[in-house]
Amino acid sequence: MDQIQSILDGFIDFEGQRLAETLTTTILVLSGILAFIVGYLLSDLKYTVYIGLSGTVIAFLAVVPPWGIYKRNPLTYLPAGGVQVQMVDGDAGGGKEKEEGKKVK
Amino acid sequence: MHSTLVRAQNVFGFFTTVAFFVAGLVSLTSLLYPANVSVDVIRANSVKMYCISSFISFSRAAGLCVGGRAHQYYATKVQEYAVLNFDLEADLSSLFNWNTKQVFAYVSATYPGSKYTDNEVVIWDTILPSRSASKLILKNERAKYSINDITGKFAGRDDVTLSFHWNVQPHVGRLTWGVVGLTEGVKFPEVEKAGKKSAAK
Repeated sequence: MDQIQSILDGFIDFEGQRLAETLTTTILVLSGILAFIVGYLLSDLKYTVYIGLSGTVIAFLAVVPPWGIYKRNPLTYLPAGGVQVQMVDGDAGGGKEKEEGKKVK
Repeated sequence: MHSTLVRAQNVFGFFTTVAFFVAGLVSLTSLLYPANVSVDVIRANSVKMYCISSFISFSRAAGLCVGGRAHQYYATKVQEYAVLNFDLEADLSSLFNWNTKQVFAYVSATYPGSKYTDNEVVIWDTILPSRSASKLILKNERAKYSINDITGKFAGRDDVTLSFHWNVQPHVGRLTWGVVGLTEGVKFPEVEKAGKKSAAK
């Protein structure tokens, strides 16, 4: 069940997210420009539609599945130190938990 | 862009933006193709008048109208109709570019009146689907639609002029209209006597 869940979630790391964002923008903008130019030169709007749509399909295939290239920089968490209290990364956990964490140290 | 769902949403969202801008550019290119429609001939050849009345006995006796109903049930007024034959030669190939879906072309007749002064009636129309069908050559073409006037009677009115209109329907962008060619005015003749017709039957 957890495996299915992780496939569906398809989480990627932070560097991977930056790359995915760049790829989305680049592929879609380039295919849009190419679609316009080719359609205009061949004087048929059909080519514009097909090139634009195939560029979109490529963008979907390149970005949506959690490919290995998006998981090259996994976050390494500090090991859990305490028995009862979990370590919190950054400020996300709020002040109280943090103080408790220090005490445990 | 953390999970699959968010990435799919982002890609689709940006795709709609790109599609919108490309469509906008395409519609702007229509400005690069100025319309240059040439109409060589537009001329009304003949006008035939007839009239219809529900008062069959009365009007037939007077030899004025054929019996029948003037498209309306229980209408008692006399309704005259005019059918034109016309010549037309027009070249609409300049309207076809990569963003043209089809062109709608129509011929209208304009005539004066005393109570209603501006009258314009479409008498013929056609749809041109492609550049290969963009040259119109019509010889003595019969009007698809007959003219009937709001007052019912309009025989004898002078200065009926024809004009040729076109309407470009693009794939993306706004519709554009144009009008060319006005003929010399012709006259709506007097109504043909119904007596002859019934005698022929």
